[in-house]
Amino acid sequence: MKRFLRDNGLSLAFGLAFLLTLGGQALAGYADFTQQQVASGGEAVGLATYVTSSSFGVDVAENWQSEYLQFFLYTMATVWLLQRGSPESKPLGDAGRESDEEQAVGRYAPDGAPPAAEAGGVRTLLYSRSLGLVVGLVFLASWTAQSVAGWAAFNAEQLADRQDPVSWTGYLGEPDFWNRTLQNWQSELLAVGSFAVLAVFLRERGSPESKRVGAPHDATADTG
Amino acid sequence: MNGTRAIFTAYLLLIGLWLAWVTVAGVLHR
Repeated sequence: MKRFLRDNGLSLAFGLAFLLTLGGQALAGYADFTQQQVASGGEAVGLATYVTSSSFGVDVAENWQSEYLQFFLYTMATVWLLQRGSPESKPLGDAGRESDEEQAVGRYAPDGAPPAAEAGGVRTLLYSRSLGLVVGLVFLASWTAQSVAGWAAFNAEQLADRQDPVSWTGYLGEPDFWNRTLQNWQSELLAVGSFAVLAVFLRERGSPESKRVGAPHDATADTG
Repeated sequence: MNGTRAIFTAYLLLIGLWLAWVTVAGVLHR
């Protein structure tokens, strides 16, 4: 048990912190929603109704989609785009998909390699793209969930304001959808772009996200 | 790696099931 916790500290700690903060978001979101309902003369609802509502759903999904977009773009962009001096970049000159030998696939697969890396053909091709594929699919699914839940929440407000509901495709052209989408995208893109270059000149001793403290500023792809 | 694989599956299930639920519930709520 102790070994299991030590071996999986990162995924377990973040998973637990996620559940706690999601609970916090549910409570704060519920209080906010209730205030607005009361202020507009609407009916107060229970907590269970709120956390299964499209209002809570869209608030969660809009943040998920941008996080997975961030990881998708970062995973894909770093195949081809490099940054001199950044620990987030591959060595300069290694841009691209690299050779089978460098990637240890097919006949270059070592003992203990995943069978899909060794198999060759479509299976290896798919496995070679599986991280980007899954993260990209989670992004698309989250963005779709945001659009559908956002549409339902938007129409609930339209009806409360005695205005006509819109179709799903109509909602995709609404400022509400794009405001929710772009306010999340801009923050992720700023964080990624700035982090890649902050880590050129700044150090965090012991972190694999940083270069070693003594690594020169122009050392690319160094890991501490 | 069995424990790690269980966490991997739990994350994917949590993400997939929640997104499916929000999407379906959103469609039904309209």
